[in-house]
This record gives sequence, C-alpha cells and structure tokens, in this order.
Amino acid sequence: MDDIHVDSVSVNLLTAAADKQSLVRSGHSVTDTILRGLPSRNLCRLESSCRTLDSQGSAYSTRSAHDRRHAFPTMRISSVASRERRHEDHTVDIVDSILSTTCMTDGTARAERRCSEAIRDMAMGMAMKRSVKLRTEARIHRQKRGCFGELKYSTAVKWKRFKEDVNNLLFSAELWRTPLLSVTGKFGSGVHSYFLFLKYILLLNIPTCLLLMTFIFIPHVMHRCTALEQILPSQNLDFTGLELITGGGFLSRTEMYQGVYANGTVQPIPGYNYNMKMSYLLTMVAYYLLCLIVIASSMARSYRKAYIEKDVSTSNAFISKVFAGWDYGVTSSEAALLKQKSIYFSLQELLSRYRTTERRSLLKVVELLVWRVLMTLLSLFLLTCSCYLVHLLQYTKSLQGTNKKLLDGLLIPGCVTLLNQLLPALFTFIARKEGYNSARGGLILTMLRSSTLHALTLGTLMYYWYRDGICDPKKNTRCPSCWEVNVGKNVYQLVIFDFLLSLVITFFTEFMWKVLSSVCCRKTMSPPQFGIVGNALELVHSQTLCWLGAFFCPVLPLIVILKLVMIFYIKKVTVILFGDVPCLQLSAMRNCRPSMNVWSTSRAWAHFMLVFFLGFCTALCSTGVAVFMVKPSQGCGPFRKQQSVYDTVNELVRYLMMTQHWLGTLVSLVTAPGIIAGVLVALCTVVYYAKTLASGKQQVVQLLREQVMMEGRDKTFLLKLLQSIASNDVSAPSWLSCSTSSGHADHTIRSGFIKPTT
Amino acid sequence: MGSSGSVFSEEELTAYQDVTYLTSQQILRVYERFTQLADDVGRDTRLPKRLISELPELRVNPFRDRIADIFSPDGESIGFEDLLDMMSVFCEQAPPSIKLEYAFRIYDFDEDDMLSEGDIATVVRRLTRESPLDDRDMKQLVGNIMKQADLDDDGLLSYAEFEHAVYKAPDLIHLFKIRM
Repeated sequence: MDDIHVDSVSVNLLTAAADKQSLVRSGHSVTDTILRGLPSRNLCRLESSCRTLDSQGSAYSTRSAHDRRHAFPTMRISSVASRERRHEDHTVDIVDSILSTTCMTDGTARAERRCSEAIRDMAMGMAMKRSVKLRTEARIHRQKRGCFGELKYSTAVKWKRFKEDVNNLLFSAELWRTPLLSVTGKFGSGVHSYFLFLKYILLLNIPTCLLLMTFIFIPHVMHRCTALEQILPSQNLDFTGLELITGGGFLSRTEMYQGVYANGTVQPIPGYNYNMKMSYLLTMVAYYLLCLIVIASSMARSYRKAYIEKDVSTSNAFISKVFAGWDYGVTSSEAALLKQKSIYFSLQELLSRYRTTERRSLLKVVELLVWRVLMTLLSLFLLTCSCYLVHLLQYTKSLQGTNKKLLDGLLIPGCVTLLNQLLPALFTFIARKEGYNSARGGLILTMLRSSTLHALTLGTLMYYWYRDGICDPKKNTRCPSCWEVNVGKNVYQLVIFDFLLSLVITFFTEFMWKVLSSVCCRKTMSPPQFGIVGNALELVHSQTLCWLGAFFCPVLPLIVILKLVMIFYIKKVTVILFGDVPCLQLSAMRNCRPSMNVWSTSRAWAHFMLVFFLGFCTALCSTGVAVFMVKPSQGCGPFRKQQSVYDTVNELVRYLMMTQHWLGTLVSLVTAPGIIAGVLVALCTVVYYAKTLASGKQQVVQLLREQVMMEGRDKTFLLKLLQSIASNDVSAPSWLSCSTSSGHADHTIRSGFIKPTT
Repeated sequence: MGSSGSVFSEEELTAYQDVTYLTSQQILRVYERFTQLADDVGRDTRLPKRLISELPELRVNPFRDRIADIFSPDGESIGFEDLLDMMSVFCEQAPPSIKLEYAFRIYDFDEDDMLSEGDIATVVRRLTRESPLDDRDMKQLVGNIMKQADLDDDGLLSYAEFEHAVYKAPDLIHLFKIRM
C-alpha cells in the first residue's frame, strides 16, 4: 500500500502545469470550440469494440459476464453535450451507431441480446433507453429465418426468460437479507464482509452435508430399521445432558460415528443391495472433492479481483481515499460520522507520510528491525509453548489410561480451545506494536500466525489420536477397541467447546466493558471493537475442525451448520447491542481506530479465502494420513479387518476389472501417483506462464501511460500554436524555440505554414 | 406487497428488467418504497427531489443532493422510473462501467463533464465535513491527485482518466452500492 511514489515523468511537467491550465480555461473561443469537438470527448466506442468481438468469434459466449461488459464500454453522452443538443438528435445518433455494428444486427437471438445489453449498459435515463430500443427494433432489418432459424431463435428467447426467472427466484430467497442490511447500515462494509463470509461457509456446508446424509447416514439407518435392530441401544440409555458435550455415552454406538457402520453390503430397502464400504469411501472422496473445487474457484476468483485486476502499482492511496472512500451502504448517522472522521484521519496520515519523505534515520530503522525480530521470536515462542502444553497434556493422559473422571476427559479440548481463542488476540496486539506502515501488513501477519497456531495444535492432537490406531495389541494391552470413534468424539468435543467458549468470551468482554464504562473510565477506555480478523479466523477454525472430523463423524457438518446459524444471530445481536457506541471525542477516536475501516473489502475477501484454503489443506492432509497410513480397527467401522482404508480402492479396481475392464483401468490410472505428479507439474507450468504473461502486460501498460503523457504535451503544444495563429501572432513566440525535441518539427510547421486569412 | 403486485403487468415488469439491472422483486420493492414517500402516490406521480434525499438510504450520504440532481431529468422532480434508474445503477448486479460513469457525474459538481481541482476540493470537503482540512493540506492533496491521474496534463480529469485511475482502486465497485 506504500504507493505514494512520485511519477518521474510527471515531475518535469510540474513547472508547466499552471501555464497549461490557463491555456485550457482561457475562454479563447477557437480553442474552446475545438476542444469541445474533439472525438475523445464525444466518445463512441461501440464500433471498435464490436470489431474485436467479431474477430474473436465464438469467444464471446464463453466469456464471463464481467469480461463481456468490460469489452463493451458504455457509449458516453457527456452532460454538456446533452444540454446543448436535442433529445431527438441524440437518439438518432445512438441508433445509427448501433445499427452500423454488424454484430448486433444480423437477426439472430444472440445479436438481439447483445443489442439489448448494449442499450442497458448505456448511462442514460430510462425514457431515452426505451426510445432508442424502439427505434432500433423498428429499423433492424430482420433476416428471413428458415424453419430451423425460427426454432433456434424461439429456444434462445425462452432460455433467456428461464434464466431470468431462476435469477429472480434466487434473489427472493436471499438468506438473511434484512439483518445484513441493518448491520451494514450501522457499521459499513467491513463488518458486512464478515457476515457474508459466514453465509458463504453456511451455503458451502449445506449441500455437502446433504451429500453425506443421503449416501451414508440414511441408508444405514434404514438398513438397521428394516433389519429390526434397535437404533438406540436398550442398555446404557441414561441420557444426561452431558452426552451432548462429550459426544460419548450412548451416542458412540449410533450412526454419529464411523464405528457402527457395517463393512459389507446392506439392505436399506429389502431386496436392494447397497455396498456400505464403497459408498462410505466414495462419498467421502466426493465430499472433499466438492469442497476443494468450490473453495479453489472462489479463491482464484477473489485473488483475481483483489490483486490482478486492481493494479497495485498504479493505484494511489489518495485517489482511493477521495473517490472511493465513502461507503454508500451506511445508513445510520453515527456510522456516517465515524466514517467521516476516519476518512479525515487517514487523509491526515497519508499527507504527513507524504511530507516526511520516507528517509528515516538509520537508528530508527535498526530499532524497528530489532523490535520486529523480537516480536517474531516472541510469537514463535508462544507457538512452541502452546504446542508443548498440548503434547504434555496428551502424554499424561495416555499414561493414565482410560480416564474415569469426566473432567479429565474435557480438560484437553477445553485447554486447546482456550489457547485457540486467546492467542490470536495476543497476536493482534503484538502485530499492532510492531509498527507496520500499513495496518494491512500487520493483519496478514496475525492471520498467518493464528493459522499456524491452529495447525500446530491440531497436528499435535491428531498425532496422538492416530497413535492409538497404530497401537499394537500384543505390545500394549491398553489399546482402545475402536479408535475411530474416539477421534470422532474428540473432534466433536472440540467443536462444541469452541462454540461455548466463544459465546462466553463474547458476552464476558462486552458485559465487562459495559459495567466498567458505566462505573468509571469512560473516556480513556475504548469500546470493544468487532474484530473482523479474530472472528473470521474463528470461523475458519471451526470449519477446519468440521473437515477434520467429517471422515470419522459424518453428522459433524450438520452440527456445524446449526452452530453457524446460532453464531450469526448471536454476533448480530452483540454487534448491534454492544458495538454501536459512537466514538465522538477525538481522544477516543484514536483508540477507536476500528479494524473495519482498514479493511478494503475485496482484499479482505481474498485473505479470508486464502486462510480458508489453508485450513482445508490442513484438514485434507490429516484425513489423508488416516486413509493411507493408519490401520483401521479390527472390530468396528466400515473398513474393519483391512490393512488400510486405501485397500478398498484396490478392491474396487479388482472388481471393476472383472466387470468393466475399461473403467477399472481408468480408475487405476487416475489413482497412480505418477499421473498425479504429472498433473501437478503441468498446473505449475500453466501458473508460471500466466504470471509471465501478466508481468509482460504490465510493462506494456506502463509504456502506454508514458505515451499518453507525451500525447498530452503534443496537444498542448498544438493548441498554443493555434491560439497564437488565431490571434495573428505570426512572430515566433519564445516557447517555440525552448523545446529542443521539437526543433525539427518547428521548422516544418513554419515552412508549411498557411497564411492566416483575416 | 400484495397491492403493488397488481400494479405492474408481466410485460411491464419484463420491460423494466430489460432496461435495468434489477430483478422483479427488487423493482416491486422500489415501488413500495416510492409509494411510502408521500401520501397518495401512484406510478406517474412526480415527487420533489428533496423527498428523495430523505430516503433512509440516502439521508446520511454527503452526495445526496448531487444524486438527486443527476437522476431527476428536469432538475426539480423525480418520478418512479427515475428512482428505478437510480436503484439500478447502485444495485449489486450493475457492472463497474456504469458505476464509474455515475460516480464521475456525481463528483462533477460544476457539470462541465470534467473534474477540475475545484470539483475534487468540493468532494474532499464533503467527505470531511465535520473536520475540514486546512488550505495547505487541501492544496497538496488535490495536487497529488491531479499529478497521478491527469495523464494528458490539461489540469482537468476527463472521464477516461478518471476511469483509469479509479478502476484500479480496489473499493469503488464494492462500496458504490445501495441496497434496499
């Protein structure tokens, strides 16, 4: 974000700036008329853009809506011109230019759609758009379409209407529209992006959960029903509320965990066979694959929007602040006041940074560096400590054996969750002290550190959980009978604890602040901010847990969905109830520098997606370890008595080879490690190619910028010449001989000069 | 929403959808809000533009008078279709090009189709209304913006220069939204 660099080319033009401004606004009638008649000010770019689309031919239909709109720039009618000319002339002009572009008038449905979209994209009032549309349709020469052409046309029109109806339906079913509107109105787009992220995760979980339910949960329940087994075991049915927290008790013998699933064929409906083992593995593969596709595409899209399309090198912090500073979604006056003050402070900060040319004294630089290194070491130390703590707790637990007391069992999840909730707050504090120039640098660092913390703690836990699975009954008499159920139980406990603890912390901090502020210290203490980073990281963490545990506990996505819905309403209430104290005094405002104002919304989304993807990769890796390396338990689960879960794939291949040879060969090819490595290498090459292409284009953009600047100088030169001619000043003005580069041009102009007619 | 559903026929709704970026639900919602602005309002009523500035979505916007000016064709009153135009530009589905065009018009206070230094200064003053910048800061700010954005160096920002400078700013498209 440190992009207040001074463009070297424009420095030279600084001195002449004032002179040129007076030239342009001189009110000289000749120059004025010429300037107003310049084609660049009466832009009509429809023809050229259509030509490029025609040359690309079929590429039109495959472009995304975004690309298409950018390729079709609006036809501008400047407000000055619109005042001076009549409405009728304008309409005629526009209709003429539309009709001259062949890609919109060849009578096909696609041409009509392009035509109507071009009209819609014009920045005019509705009345004018309607008259243009009527005239265009009246004058378009409809080609005779044969039978087939008519059919194609009518299907295309019907398809368009159908798509519009689906769109309308999706919009009307927009989840949580009113609560989101009220939150955005009061707090702006930063907080809105957090709630959008929550909605995104929820909408990701719903179809995947449905997938798991339909293919794993429901068939097995039906099978047990038809087999007349009792779903809930008759013994040990003492339901105390504690089972909901520990996930143990009678729940460990239900379909909630992997343990109870049969390992062969079952009959959900009598007469129909259903291979539970294959279905379990394949559904899990489909689940992770679906999540991967959705997240990877969202991440790619957001990265493109945030970093590639928004060219960081040419954007200017001042321009962004002034022209793109106001949040039009804000509707409450306190939020508006806050926004105005924050804009003021950011502008002041930018100006002061611009004035003190970034030459800090060497001492300060060294001091800052040392401080940053210290802080990094501190955070590494904290990470190691938390990891060691978890390791210690697990080790002592494994030494104790099966724990009798309830509290011992809950100690580890409680401790881990506490670490994961509190340390990110500490990391935020550390990052703020590190004195980064842009707050964004500090935030990225905090996000990375918190993600590392989550990964490390979860990694340590998984190591111990899987170690139970590798336990050899001959050497160790205390091997658990069904380690998969234990893993599932542990993850479930983590999820529940995470939820409960975040509830407790939210209410506790807000409540304490309210109490303290009403009793004393109102002016010095800043109200608790809705920390977008912290909350977003919590969401990522809970979703990582969900993915981690889905393999062992197929019902976990459903529980996470319920948790997300509850979190939405709770956060909404806390944000609106507790977070709306306006920071009106200047002193409070400084402390009150809200994180929401630092976030640029599109970058925020890109960062969330990145951390989300990292969490997914962590979960995928650990599940992969379970699938490939850990031996399933002998007595329970759909993979019992096998060497590893991956053996199922070999079994599937063998079966397919016998029945459908080609499918078997295909599956064995796809799962061969050589092929996968080759695909990865190819992908990396593609990414490298795209990156080199992008940097090449950036250089072209820079060259074009300089060219435009030169053209500007040319224009001013010519205008001055024209002015001097028009005022009959034939004797060479002094500035003509000044510019050495135009020395040659100056001779040719004077020699080919036409005498002014008086 | 029961009564407003019968105000528009299917063809009218489709015609509106063809010229705006709104869905039919959004169009009906806009109509509902339009009728609530004053008593006895129908489809063809033209309301004075100050009523539009009183809409809760626009009440705290520092540019609400400019927005009302731009979307009222005669400069005095706003009809339902003008309100539809406005909501169409500010809705989620509108493309960046339209938003940039109207942002340019909003910021062009003297309506000469170019952004001069006076226009930019007015924008800054509106944005920091409660705590104005002093003259030296203002001059520096405006000068820096001009230096960076004014490519042909005529002291004015044309639409093309504005588009080039602001299109790369990461936020205008996201923040230039009014949801109803």
